[in-house]
Amino acid sequence: MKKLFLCLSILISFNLYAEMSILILGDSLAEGYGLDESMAFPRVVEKKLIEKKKNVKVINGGVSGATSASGIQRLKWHLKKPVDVLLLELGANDGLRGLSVPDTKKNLKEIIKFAKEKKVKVMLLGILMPPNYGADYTGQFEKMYKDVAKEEKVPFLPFLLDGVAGNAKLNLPDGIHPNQKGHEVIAEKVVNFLEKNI
Amino acid sequence: MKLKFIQQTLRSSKEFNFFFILCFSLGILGLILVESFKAGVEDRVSKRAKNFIASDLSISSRRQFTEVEKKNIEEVIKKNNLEYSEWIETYSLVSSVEKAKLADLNFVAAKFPFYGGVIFENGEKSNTADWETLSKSPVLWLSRDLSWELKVKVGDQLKIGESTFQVGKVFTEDQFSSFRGFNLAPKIFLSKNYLAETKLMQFGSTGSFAYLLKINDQNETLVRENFSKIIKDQTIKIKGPKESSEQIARSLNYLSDYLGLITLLTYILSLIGLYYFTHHFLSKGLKSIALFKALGFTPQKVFILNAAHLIILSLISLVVSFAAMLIMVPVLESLLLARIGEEFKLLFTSGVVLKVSLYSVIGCLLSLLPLILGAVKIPVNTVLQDIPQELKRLAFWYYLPLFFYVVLMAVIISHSIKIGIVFISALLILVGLGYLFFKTFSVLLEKSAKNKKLEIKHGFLALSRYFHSSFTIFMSLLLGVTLIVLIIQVEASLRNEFTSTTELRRPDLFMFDLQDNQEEAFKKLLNEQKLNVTMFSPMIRGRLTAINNGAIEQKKSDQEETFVTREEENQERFRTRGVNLSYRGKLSWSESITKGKFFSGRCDGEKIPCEISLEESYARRMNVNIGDKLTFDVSGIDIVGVVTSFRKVKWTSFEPNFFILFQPGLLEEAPKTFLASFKVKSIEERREIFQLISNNFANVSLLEVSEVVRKITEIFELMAFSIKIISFLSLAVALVVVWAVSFNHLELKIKEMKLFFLMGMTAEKRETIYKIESFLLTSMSIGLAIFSGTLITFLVLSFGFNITLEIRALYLISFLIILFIILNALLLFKIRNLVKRSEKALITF
Amino acid sequence: MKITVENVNKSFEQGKNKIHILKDISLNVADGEIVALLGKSGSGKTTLLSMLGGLEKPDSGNITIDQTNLYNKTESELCDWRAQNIGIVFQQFHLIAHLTAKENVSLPLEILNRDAESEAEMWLDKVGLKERLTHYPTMLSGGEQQRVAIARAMVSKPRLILADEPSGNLDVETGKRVMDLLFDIVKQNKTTMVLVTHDEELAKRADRIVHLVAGKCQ
Repeated sequence: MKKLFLCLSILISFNLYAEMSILILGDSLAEGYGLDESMAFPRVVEKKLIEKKKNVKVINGGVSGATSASGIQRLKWHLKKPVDVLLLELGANDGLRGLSVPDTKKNLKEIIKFAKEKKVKVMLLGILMPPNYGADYTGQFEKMYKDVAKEEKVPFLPFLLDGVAGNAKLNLPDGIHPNQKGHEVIAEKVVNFLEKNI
Repeated sequence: MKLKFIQQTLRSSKEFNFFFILCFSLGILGLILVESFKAGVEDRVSKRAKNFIASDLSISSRRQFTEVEKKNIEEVIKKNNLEYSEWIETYSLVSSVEKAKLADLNFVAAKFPFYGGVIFENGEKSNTADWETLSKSPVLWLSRDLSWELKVKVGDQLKIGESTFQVGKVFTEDQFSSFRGFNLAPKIFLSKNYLAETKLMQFGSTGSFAYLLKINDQNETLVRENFSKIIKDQTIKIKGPKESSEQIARSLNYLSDYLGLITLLTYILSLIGLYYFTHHFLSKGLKSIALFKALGFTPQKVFILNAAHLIILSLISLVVSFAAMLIMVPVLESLLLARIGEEFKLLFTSGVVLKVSLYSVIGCLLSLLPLILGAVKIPVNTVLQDIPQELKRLAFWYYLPLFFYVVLMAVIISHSIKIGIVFISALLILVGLGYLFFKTFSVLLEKSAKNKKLEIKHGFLALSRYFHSSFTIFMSLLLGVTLIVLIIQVEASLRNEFTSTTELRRPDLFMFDLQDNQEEAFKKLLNEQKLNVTMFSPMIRGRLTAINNGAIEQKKSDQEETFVTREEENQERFRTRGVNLSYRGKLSWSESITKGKFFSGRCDGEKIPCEISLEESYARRMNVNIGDKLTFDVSGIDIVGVVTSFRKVKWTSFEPNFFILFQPGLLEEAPKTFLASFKVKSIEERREIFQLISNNFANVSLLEVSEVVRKITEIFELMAFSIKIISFLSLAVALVVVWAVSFNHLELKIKEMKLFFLMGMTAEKRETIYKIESFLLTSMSIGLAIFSGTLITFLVLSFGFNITLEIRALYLISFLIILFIILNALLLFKIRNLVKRSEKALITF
Repeated sequence: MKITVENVNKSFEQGKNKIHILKDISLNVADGEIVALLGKSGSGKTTLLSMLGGLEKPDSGNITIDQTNLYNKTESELCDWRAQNIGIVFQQFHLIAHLTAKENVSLPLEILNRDAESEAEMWLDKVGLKERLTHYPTMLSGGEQQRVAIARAMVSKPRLILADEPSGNLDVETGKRVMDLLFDIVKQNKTTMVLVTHDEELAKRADRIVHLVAGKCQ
């Protein structure tokens, strides 16, 4: 059985195209705050894609508390190794801390431009602010992501936590970070998004 | 008939009665003082901590309560006849005409708060009427920081969500904490009645939702239980004041452990004193016991007679000490008022009285009854012999009940089996070592006495020949002084834990998320503006992936949960989570190395692995030892290091620190952010820093922490002060016992003094003999106690409290020298007095 | 040693009562004489003995020993005088419990700063306790203890022995033997001795008996 599997995987790697490297540059959502790394959505995405016989490697570039300002430095570090696709998942902490929306926009655009220069395909994972931040701010924030995606012409997933946020069963007791089940939901969404855009 | 005999015994032993009552009353007084002070401090601290949660008990959740939950909770509230309020905390952007800023919104219901309040700009504290006005109108109170940032004043309008509020008041400080610990943003208080209008609470909104309860005469434990029964969801927390802050909970535990330890010391000290007096009293009275037996009393009757004597003395001591306490309470309370500027109640309750009475009488009986039992064994024919008799020494098992009782007390009083047992074992070891030491010493004295001058010879022999008696007094002195050393040392070390944050170093602002590429600009700004940065550290996010090449098992999602305990589960989870790493070449003032050696310079990039220093409790949790190799995944790259040292971080310093510290030279290249803390001199400087940072580094967040830090340090200071007071009380008891025991010891030498006098020895020589003896005993016991006391302190601190010993050498030595001088001066005085008295001797005595 | 007691009065206060214990007592003791003071309890014999040892001052009257008034001496002069001239034998033996027989006997010589070792051994030999040099008092019988006490009283060759009921704590047989020893030694050394007793048999062995009745000599 084990042997058979080994043969199969060798077969796959020979027959299909070379391994694709996907970097998820994000914050605590990607890092899997409060969970094992194996439970965080980047690892689940990788697992799901491999199950679908895709030869991929997902690099988890999530750092708890990271804001968009840190993105460019961290991207440079990761690009020391080959990366084919960048999933950009930053900005949530900017919003939660009430930082200025134009600054966040500037940072995101800078990251995308740099990745493009390095021939990396960029996709943007958007986030919405919780309603308690006020309609004005949440509105500005939502629009900011749309504008970035439009201006930079990158594939865009409007709300990564869609169906997870606000659902106590899919979140840790802090009511902010998804739990293991929440990450499964997110991963499913990200896999669909990836498949649609690659 | 029997009563008459008891009366006679009481009347005929006035001196013994006096010493017994003195020593016992002091011991009891110490116990009562410690107990009522402890209760008072705990009450005081928990009252302050109650301000944090504005109530006696809070039920809080990070999501909205469901209707069913609400119904259930409110039902329990009604059933228990509790008063309650509600408090909802959430973050939102609030906007003035000019600006929008993030704020920590606190929507409060009527009756909020049950404890604590805010201080308004004019310096007045909020009162009930103020809060009532707030709850009834669409006004808000905002913190002064926010009013500056938003450039608004009282009467201006602020937009919050879909609604507009008028600024009613501006406050400078508030006593409440945040449900999330440190506040990310300045606070605003508004009425819960207007929350709906803001439309902030919708599906997906985040916040903390809490019921606040006031417990009057209801039983808190019962109330808690009632709520626990109906609350099924583990994410809903039921918290009292002690759980409101980890640091307070921890410090309260420390405090009560320490106070417990001190109580135990006071207790053991007075038992030693009692044992000593009673031993000598019974030795002196052996003849009359034999006489009673000769007159036809059964041993049982003689036993009862003597036991009744002791019980009566114990009861008198209880009454004396309770009376003294009643007199002392108002005096002490006014002293405390003067010192801490706040009303402080010593909780001298009937519970305390009962507890202390029980402790002391049982302990007294268990330690003294075996002595009486030994005494009644004296053979009847002794009456006819005129030979000094020795009290029959009983087999050790007669003292087993006492031993187990003291062990039990140690465990009960110190609230910890570990501390109790460590303490008792240390005492036993001390007695054993004391015996060896004293035996050796007396053999040496005996040998060297022979050819010495008369007074030196007899000084030496008085000590070495009365081995049993000298050893008892030596042990009493040794234990007494050891406990004094212990109290002084533990007090210093523990108080140091509480007050290690000096005003100068206590941070006011935390800054985080400064980016790599902003480091230089920030440093330049610091130089230009001469800002006082108390800490500046890089922070790198990583994940521990292997210990000694053994990969850390990551739990697969389909695996079943097999953890046995919650702790085990936490520990396992903890191992693979993301961690913050940092690097630094120097130790910070708030940390010290407890094991291994700190980094030797920079790490050579080629010479892998580099060194790692771990915080000791983290190392313990991770089960990592010195020499282990750790592998971290830092943004996809494996970073390897070897653990070379453990650090202990002062948790009261409020200085941010890292569990994992790398030697410089390895992590500099990794993506990182920077943390900093600032000390500011004035509100103006703080404003300036806020301005500077937000103008120069828009992405950087600044947190105001001085308020939180101040609130907690205030409690620490109260604790430190209490530790001082109680230690002082205990010292007083120890000193009195030492004094009384040594006086009593001399008292017993009067017969010998008379003989020397009759034989024509000059007064000067007679004095010298006892001066030599006293000098030897006091200097030996004090000398040895320095070591044994320090050793026990070390054991108690490292096993019991897990804190490092601060040796207070100079203070301790000078204290002991003064103690030595005073003790010897008192003894000299007593010797002179006794020598004089012994001269008034008839030939028959 | 020649002792003259002239018109000595002494009273003690006991609670509210004043007890006139010695009433106008006069007594002469010649050098080398053995005098027994015989009387009931409370007759004042022990008080008188204490006064002869310089331990108790009379309220009035004089005690002259070898022509010098005893109570003109200072406290420390009295101490030295006692060390050189007086040996005391007690009813209760009063040996120092933590010292051996030899050490007890050596003590008076040590106080006088004289060589004690061989002298003490010699005296213990004299009282028949040669084998008991290193025994502590508790290891000795009552009779043996009293012999040590006699050796201790005699070792410094005092000129006056004060003995307070020396046989009072011994059984008849032992008492007789120990008293034989005491009298022998005192006579051999020509030491003056004042002996307080209520034992008429013992008193008869003295050169002279003085009866003390209610504080008066008869």
